[in-house]
Amino acid sequence: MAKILLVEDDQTMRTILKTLLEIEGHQVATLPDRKKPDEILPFINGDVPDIMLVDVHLQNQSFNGYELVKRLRAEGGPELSHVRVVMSSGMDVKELCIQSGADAFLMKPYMPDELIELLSDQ
Amino acid sequence: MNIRVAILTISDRSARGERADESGPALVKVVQQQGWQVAEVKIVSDDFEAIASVLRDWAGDNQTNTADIILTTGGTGFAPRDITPEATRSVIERDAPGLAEAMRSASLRVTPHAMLSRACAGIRARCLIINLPGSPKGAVENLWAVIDVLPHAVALLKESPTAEAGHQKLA
Repeated sequence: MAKILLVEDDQTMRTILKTLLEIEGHQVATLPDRKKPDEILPFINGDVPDIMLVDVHLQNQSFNGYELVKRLRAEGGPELSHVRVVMSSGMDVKELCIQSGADAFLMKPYMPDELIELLSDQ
Repeated sequence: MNIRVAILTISDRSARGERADESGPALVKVVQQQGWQVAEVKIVSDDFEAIASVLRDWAGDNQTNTADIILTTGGTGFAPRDITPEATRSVIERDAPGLAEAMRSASLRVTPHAMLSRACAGIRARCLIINLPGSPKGAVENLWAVIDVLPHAVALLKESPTAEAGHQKLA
């Protein structure tokens, strides 16, 4: 079972995903709202996840999903280099996500099982 | 708007204490994290009158309901003891088929077994009753499929002045 960090600012989505992933046996943490860009990597380093699920559009943050993943890949160092990243969006922006450093992309709306199946491949 | 949610687990084995109820607590978690109030929680066996009695009690009438929404979990399948939809239909006054259709439609994206769900939804007085599957994962997944419309549904049932704004938001 994986240690997962949810970076998702839709409260409902966050609630349901966390509950379902915990039912599946995963350990789930969420990125608190209103983090400053410089606070992201120290936060992630505090409890390094196996997988990050990152929404592209983060209205409650001062950065978007692309910026977060680019920073993770560029400045994360060896401690964070093994973190797998799944990005999601309501628009088909798979190529942009992969270019930013994501390992996989999931188009919204998706069912939790689709995410769980994808996570099992990571 | 304060939304009061009652959660009824329907399972012979959980009612006898032979199996821990995981679905009820999973739904409680979702309801609490949504900022809604958990008004009641109970476990009953797959017994028609036991289920109907609790639903009547919680739904009450226009003045006495203890919940705005009742979520049931369990008893929606094809097994002979699965009678939750029948017990629910015996107490509801108005059908709300769109909710059950939306849940089945969402579930069909991941499993053809969704066709075997007999879950229903409906209204008694000012209370919305929704049947969910018995597994914790199924219950939470199905709730997810309809959760965004529930505040508006409750506003309409309460004849809240904010209901019109909800119309516009969902349009």
